[in-house]
Amino acid sequence: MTAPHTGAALKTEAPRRNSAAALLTHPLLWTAILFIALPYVAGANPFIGKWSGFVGIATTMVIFSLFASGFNLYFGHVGELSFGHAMFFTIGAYATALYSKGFNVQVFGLTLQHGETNNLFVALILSVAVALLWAWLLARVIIPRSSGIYFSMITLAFAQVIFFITYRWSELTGGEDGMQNIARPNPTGYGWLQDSLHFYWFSAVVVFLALCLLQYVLRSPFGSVLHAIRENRQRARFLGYDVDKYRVNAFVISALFPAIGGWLWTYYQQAINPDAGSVEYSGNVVMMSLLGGIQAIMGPILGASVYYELQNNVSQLTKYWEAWIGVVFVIVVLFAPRGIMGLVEDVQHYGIGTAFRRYFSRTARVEIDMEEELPPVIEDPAVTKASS
Amino acid sequence: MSAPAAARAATGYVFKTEGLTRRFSGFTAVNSVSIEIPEGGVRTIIGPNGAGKTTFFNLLSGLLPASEGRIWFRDREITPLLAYQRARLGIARSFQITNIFGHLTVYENVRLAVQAVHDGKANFLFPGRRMGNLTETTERVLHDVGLWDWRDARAENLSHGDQRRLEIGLVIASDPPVLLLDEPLAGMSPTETHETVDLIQRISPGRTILLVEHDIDVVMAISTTITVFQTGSVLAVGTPQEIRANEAVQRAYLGELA
Repeated sequence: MTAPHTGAALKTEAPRRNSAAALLTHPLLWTAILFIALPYVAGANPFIGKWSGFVGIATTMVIFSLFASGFNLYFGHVGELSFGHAMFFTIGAYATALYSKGFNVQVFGLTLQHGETNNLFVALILSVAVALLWAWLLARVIIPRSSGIYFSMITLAFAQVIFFITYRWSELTGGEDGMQNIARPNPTGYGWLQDSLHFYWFSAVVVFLALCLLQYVLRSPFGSVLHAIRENRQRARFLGYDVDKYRVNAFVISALFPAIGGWLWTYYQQAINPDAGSVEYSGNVVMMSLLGGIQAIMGPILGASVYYELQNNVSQLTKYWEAWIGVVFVIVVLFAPRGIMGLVEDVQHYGIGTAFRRYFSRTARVEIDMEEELPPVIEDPAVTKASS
Repeated sequence: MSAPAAARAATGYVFKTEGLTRRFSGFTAVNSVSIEIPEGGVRTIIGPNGAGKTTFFNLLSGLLPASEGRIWFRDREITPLLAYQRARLGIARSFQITNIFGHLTVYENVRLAVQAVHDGKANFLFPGRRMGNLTETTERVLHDVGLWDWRDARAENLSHGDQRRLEIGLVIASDPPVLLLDEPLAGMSPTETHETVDLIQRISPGRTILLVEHDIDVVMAISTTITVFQTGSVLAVGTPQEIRANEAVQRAYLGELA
């Protein structure tokens, strides 16, 4: 009854994994392994005799894993580039800093003041609440009116607004210098978070839990609708999905993760300056996501780690390290557009030899893909369970 | 699932239009069309290229806003409603140019169409298990359209005919009372045409199917009534026999093919 396909051989691999294999390739398992390894390997480079890791680099990596993952929820899964996600990062960071350090400013003749306080969880709730409120207002205004490149430009413009507020409003934000000497809270009473390794574990656990939520969202019915919107917005609409509502909600939840990241960032640095909301930071997460692979949950997590690993090692060899990272980025985009996770998936799918033949020979790629063209047919009646 | 029959209102028509007009910068594609499309059966729209058939579909389904005029769906005016709102009322449509989720699997395509009935709230914490039995419906639809064996294939890898069938699958997955099929047979081989006509006839009981189609033999065989469009206006409405006998139609359209 079906399909006049070409006469190529049927590929009969099992398309649905059994539960053990599903567990072994689960992104959260590998994220956990990565986070446990990071403080011992981050920044290490055996080639120049640096064998041990740096906790500070590891902390940066996990915080940016979260930031990039949140950004990528909108970029990789809804399919639109927000070029201003650093605004949520900086909002989270400044909310925490201002709450901790206190402030005393005049706004339109009103005096706003708040003393110095030190509560981890109140700071988190404030950071998230302010970022989500801003994301929601912004999304309600711009999402029904723009998409594609216009959407990117408008998010960039709004991010610049936030950046210049932090940069210019010196009375509140400390201007260019930002704020220093922000004390890490002491929830246990033993000063547990003062130790940098302890702070790393605290960050890693927070980031891991947030990534569990992200994974849940992406695997939920909501997440599959986001993919439908990415693939074909018009078709999604005609199936009855309120596409703009999904985009607004996705944008809001994608702001949650950078906000949590900003909260950790302030406590990690114990200082904050306007750079956190700069175009550079917005651009870096784009690069991290593409480096790691934008369609995989592990992508931005790996991307952030690889980015900082490269930055740390290359910057010790040359002061032009940014140019070299640029070169790596160009190579990835040109030759492995699905990023590191794309390579991993290809090796899983084809085996290492075939995967590399595919990458390096165009003829081999065409031949291999011809054989792949036929959809796999399963005749096993036991295998009728839903995917997803 | 919602039973189409139970939802049927007493008005007797599914769509009613009043002075429905659509202009494209000077060109009038649909010109003051006032018709009622009765409940049930296969209601086919034919007409020469450029007669406004697809534009009429686009106006009914909400892809295009009307320049003038009003549209009712049963006893409810839908003129200001957006496409997704009309889809949620039970107006499902296919497109002249295949419109599916190419990079998703066949199964995912259909499952998304089934899910659309259950989930309009865009709630990201809503768990899959609370969505009713999507699996069962999805599997039934896949069997109905004969794509069960291809469920794990990426939709873009299907043959043209199978992609068209998948699109019909997307349309019927929500069990809609009203289907708008825009040239579902375009580009199909004779075998595929035969299978698809079978499929259309199989799903038609209890629903109203609006069909735009060029294959005149098929149109004559399966239509309850035929509406003939010419240059944006309705030229004639009638049963296949009446349309075949209608001289104006013969001149305008059938003669062209003879």
